[in-house]
Amino acid sequence: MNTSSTQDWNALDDDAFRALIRSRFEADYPTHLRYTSRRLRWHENGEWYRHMSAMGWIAPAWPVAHGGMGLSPTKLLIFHEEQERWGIGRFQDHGILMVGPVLIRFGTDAQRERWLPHILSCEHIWAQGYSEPNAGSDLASLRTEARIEGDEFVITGQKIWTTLAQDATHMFVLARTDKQAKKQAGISFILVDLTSPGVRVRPIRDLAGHEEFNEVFFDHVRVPIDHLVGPLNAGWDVAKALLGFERIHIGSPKLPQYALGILAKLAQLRGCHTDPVFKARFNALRMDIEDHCDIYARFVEIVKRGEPLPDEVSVLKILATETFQRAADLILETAGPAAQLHGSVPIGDGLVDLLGPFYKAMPASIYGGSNEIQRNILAKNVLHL
Amino acid sequence: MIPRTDQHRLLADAAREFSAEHTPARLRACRLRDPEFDRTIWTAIAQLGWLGLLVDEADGGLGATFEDMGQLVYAWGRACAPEPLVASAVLALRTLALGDGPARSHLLQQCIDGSHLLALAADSITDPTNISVTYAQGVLNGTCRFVVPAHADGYLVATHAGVFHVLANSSGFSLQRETRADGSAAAWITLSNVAAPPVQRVASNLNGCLQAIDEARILCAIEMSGMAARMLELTLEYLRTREQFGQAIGRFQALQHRAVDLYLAEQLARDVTQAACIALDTPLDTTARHLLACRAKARANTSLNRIAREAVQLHGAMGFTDEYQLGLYVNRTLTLSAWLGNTTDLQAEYAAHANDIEVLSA
Repeated sequence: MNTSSTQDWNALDDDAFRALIRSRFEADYPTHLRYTSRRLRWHENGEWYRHMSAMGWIAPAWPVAHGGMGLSPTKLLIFHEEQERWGIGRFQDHGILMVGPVLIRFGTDAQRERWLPHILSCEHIWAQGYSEPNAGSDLASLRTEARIEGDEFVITGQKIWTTLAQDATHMFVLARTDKQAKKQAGISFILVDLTSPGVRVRPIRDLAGHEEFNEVFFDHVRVPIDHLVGPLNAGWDVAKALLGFERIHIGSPKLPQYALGILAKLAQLRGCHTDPVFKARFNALRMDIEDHCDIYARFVEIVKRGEPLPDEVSVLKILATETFQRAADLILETAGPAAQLHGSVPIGDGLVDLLGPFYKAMPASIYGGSNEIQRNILAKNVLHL
Repeated sequence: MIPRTDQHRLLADAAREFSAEHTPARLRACRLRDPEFDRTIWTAIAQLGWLGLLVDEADGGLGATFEDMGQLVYAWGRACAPEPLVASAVLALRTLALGDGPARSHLLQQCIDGSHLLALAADSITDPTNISVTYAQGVLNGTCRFVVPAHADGYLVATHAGVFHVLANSSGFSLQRETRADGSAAAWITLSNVAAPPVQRVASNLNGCLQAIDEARILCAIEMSGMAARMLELTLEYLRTREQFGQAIGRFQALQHRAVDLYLAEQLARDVTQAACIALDTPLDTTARHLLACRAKARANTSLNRIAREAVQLHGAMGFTDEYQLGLYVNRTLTLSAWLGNTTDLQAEYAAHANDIEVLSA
């Protein structure tokens, strides 16, 4: 059932829209995949997202003309809120979040016809090829090179920290196409088929024991020249233009709230919820999260008005991730000796994954622009220091 | 406060202009004096109509919103002005306005026009049910501490039998001045057989008083967020201009990140207190208002205390001098954070009244 072409979602009032989305999520999303403590792999949640695709719900932000739901900013926020509320895990959705919008804005008609349908059908899963071993926070110093030979790029180099690359079929790569130009100026945005000869993906095991990120090696990988998006050497601007209002999600209060919920449940199971020391700590954290909701609401209003998010939005990411980490730490502290146990463990009459929130919270202050980089942005662009 | 309407902007601009006259020299001159502010300025504020903002038009006020009042109070905080806008024109005046006793109407008029300066005497203000002043056979007895403004013309005395108005020159009324950290005064009042005939009754119960305390907590938090904004501004100016090792010290990343942390604290205080203030203009039940008030004041306390300490540190020895204006704000921070509930008190209040949280898991 493809409803996106027939349904005008924005004509519904907000509550009706929310109720409709919520009932669909609650009815169809597999219970065992709710609120998982790690990113799910495609073999686990692919079926759900193919279902979303079949319903026409896979690209809520894309314009209807390109096969999306064409949601207004307000409706889009509701859609995300309901996904978060029901604990629906993300898939490797960079095709939806990045490649689609990039092609819609910077691509040619031929590129849109060629790539967009495969993103919408989930046949193509896209990974983001930005970070390199020597280009993390200082991304513009990247060295992966794309040399032009006839009507092909020949790409050589290495990407790293690529989330779920082992499930991806394609990767959008920032590669250096002009070695003489200064840093940002000589970079291009190129689409790469990961089944091409010369590509090697190696998963990296993380602290939690999961394999969510990867190294991706390119050894003279040949890519047709029409896989370039936007002008040659303009890749930096293409990538930057897409830092849209998705930045608000990384600062949402949902992750701290999720950890606080686990903490409440744990305290009940352990019977320490009435302990005055616990109560004081729990309550202080809870009030901080409520406070975070107030500041988050201000940025939500900006998004709803359709205005671009200002640099101040970095505030949200810092607050959300640091509060999430404090909540995860308090879970460990509250669990006592059980906090040494890996996985879901019996506490009282229940089962709790105690280390799950900790491992989820720990890298949050690193990815998506480390909190140090966020502080640099605020110091320079907002405080003018 | 971010003004959201033209009316807000007008009020905010007027208050900022008005408070621009509050030079650090005037603020300093007020300290340790009785009263610790300028009565002429209080009268000027009254003439602008600002004391009647939170009183209904039917009672001779302007019937404006808390958000309007917030614009003034925020500017007041930024200027660190000494006139007791929140203590008198919110805490005492709202107790009066929410009352139901015979003394209410004529007193309201005198308070709005600035001729009668009013203070609320409610001991154990974080737990007003634990009140030590008693009312029996038409007389009041007992003591009450931390009453501000200390040198008022009249006091609203809270008892379990309701709230009574007592003039400062009543027989049997005495007060001891206690100096607060910022040089202002708090009164420790003693009532021994002070006559309080029924005509002096302002309210027959404490409900209005309790509501006024929560409203004052929120407006006090707004005042504090204004102070936070100014302290941050002073600190950033200093970081941009003070040079050591051949460059502005604000160029050092270690200091930049600390400045950002102060900015986070300031933004949180501003948005949380503003949201609470706006909510006061919507229908709220008693518990919801109390929770908002506790959270807003607790946040203002935490943010402001952090900023005050760090602002001094980032200014170096200059920050610890009495001559530099930052000190006025630091001492006001100490005063206001202990007034109407400190962080620990307010967090405990919040915990005692909040619902169980929704557990987000499958």
